[in-house]
Amino acid sequence: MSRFDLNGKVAIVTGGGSGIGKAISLAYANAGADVVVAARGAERLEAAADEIRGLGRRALAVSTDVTEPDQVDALIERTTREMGKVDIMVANSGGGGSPKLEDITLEDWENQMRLNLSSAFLCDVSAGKAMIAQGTGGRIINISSTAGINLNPGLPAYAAAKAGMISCTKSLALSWAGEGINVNCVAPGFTATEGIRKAGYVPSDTRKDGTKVPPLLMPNEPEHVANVAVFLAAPASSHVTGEVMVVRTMFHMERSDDVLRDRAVLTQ
Amino acid sequence: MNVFELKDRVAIVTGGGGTEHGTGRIIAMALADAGVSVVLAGRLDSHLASVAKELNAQGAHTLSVPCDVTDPAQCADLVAKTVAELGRLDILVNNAATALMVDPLKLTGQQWRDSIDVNLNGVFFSAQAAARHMVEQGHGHIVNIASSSGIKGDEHMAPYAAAKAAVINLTRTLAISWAIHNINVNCIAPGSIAVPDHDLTGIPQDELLRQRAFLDQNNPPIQQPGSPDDIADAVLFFASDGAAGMTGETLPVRGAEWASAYS
Repeated sequence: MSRFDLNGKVAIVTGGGSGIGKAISLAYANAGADVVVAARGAERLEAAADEIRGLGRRALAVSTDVTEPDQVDALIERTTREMGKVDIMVANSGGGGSPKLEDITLEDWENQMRLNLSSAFLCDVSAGKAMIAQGTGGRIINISSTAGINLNPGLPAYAAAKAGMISCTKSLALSWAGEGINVNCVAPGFTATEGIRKAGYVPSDTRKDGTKVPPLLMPNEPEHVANVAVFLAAPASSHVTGEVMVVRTMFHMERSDDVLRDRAVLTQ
Repeated sequence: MNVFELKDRVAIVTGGGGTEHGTGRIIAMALADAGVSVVLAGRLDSHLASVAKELNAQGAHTLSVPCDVTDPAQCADLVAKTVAELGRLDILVNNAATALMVDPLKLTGQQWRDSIDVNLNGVFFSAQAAARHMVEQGHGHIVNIASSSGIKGDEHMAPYAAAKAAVINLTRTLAISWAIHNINVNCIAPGSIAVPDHDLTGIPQDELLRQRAFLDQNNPPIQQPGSPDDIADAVLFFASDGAAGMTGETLPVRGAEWASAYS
């Protein structure tokens, strides 16, 4: 059996209907897991569940507001009832958005904390309780962001929430080390999700002179992040807990084509 | 298609001729199991030959090249032989290391320099030699084995811990420098590894085994020391396309050991 195999596992992926969450859901299904996708928007969830079934796995789409404790508990309960157990929880829901720094209200701040940090905490604890009851151990993977390590200009609440998630990961990892539950974090850098692409933030992979930008100087695709999430769910990472895996390219090095070409000539 | 698949790739493992339970040997075996042609590099020809024999018996394609990684010329020769025999070089695992436990007050200049030479200089010379070929080839994965000592420091391990910290930093610089050449450079920082002949501490073998048994009985697996297999698993990850989106990073593989270091 491959050390990267998820055969027979049941995973929950919040925010699993789009972006990085959807990529993780499909990567898990490809690795052999049955997947429960949970998010607010029912339509995209059903589409994701259909894709997972298309890969020959069981799937469940559960419309959930992950900032509501009752709904999170209901998600875990339904997963356990219909899929038999929960082995892997990926707390991926979230998103950045906030007014200009000088205009941020307490409500804006708290909304960001709720969406990005409280939601993950609720999912982690609810899933962790189920894993402890099962006695099988499990894997919890929180999707943070490089914003939580460095910063995200203009999004102080988002960055603080993502930093909080890293701290929370360590606390849970230690609390549940004795339960065989590994809790880790993935911190993606700039990633070319569909939303980012549509907003026009992803540059062309071909430079003005027709040369291709090397992959490590392009933003990551959601699949790159998903592969790291597979590792953290798989037997290969059984001795890894409480850690943060940063998933980013050297995209910032490609800021100027001409500077970069000069640098390449200089270093040859 | 499986992104973790490594079949038919070519890897060099430095320090690949270690002891029976040594990490280098276990990494080489895990790569060979995954279908990789493995080049074992190390100082002791007899050790290399014994690991090579074992791998070949399992049907792996193995080459062993005596190499002192502290000598840039020998590193260049290692890569040249690899490419001549196997046609390519996809993966370099910088595993060669030497540990030394001496009270810093008693450490000699020679001991300091020898440790830095293997644990830091050797990593750079091997990476440089491999990257010179990987640049031409247009791709490559370099996996450095550092240590959690390089993150948290370690009692009586001054040159070792300092060199391992430097390897973590070197990983970042090489990743930045070689991203344009499509070379991923990442690092694994193992915590304590418990194997019967891992006699770094000078603790007698039977005492070490007693300690291990105590830990096994009294701690859940995640709080116990790791095994070389845990490190090999992380190597398989970083050597594969599954890690294509990561470069310059260090993954500690140390169970929940970090908690005592930071609390």
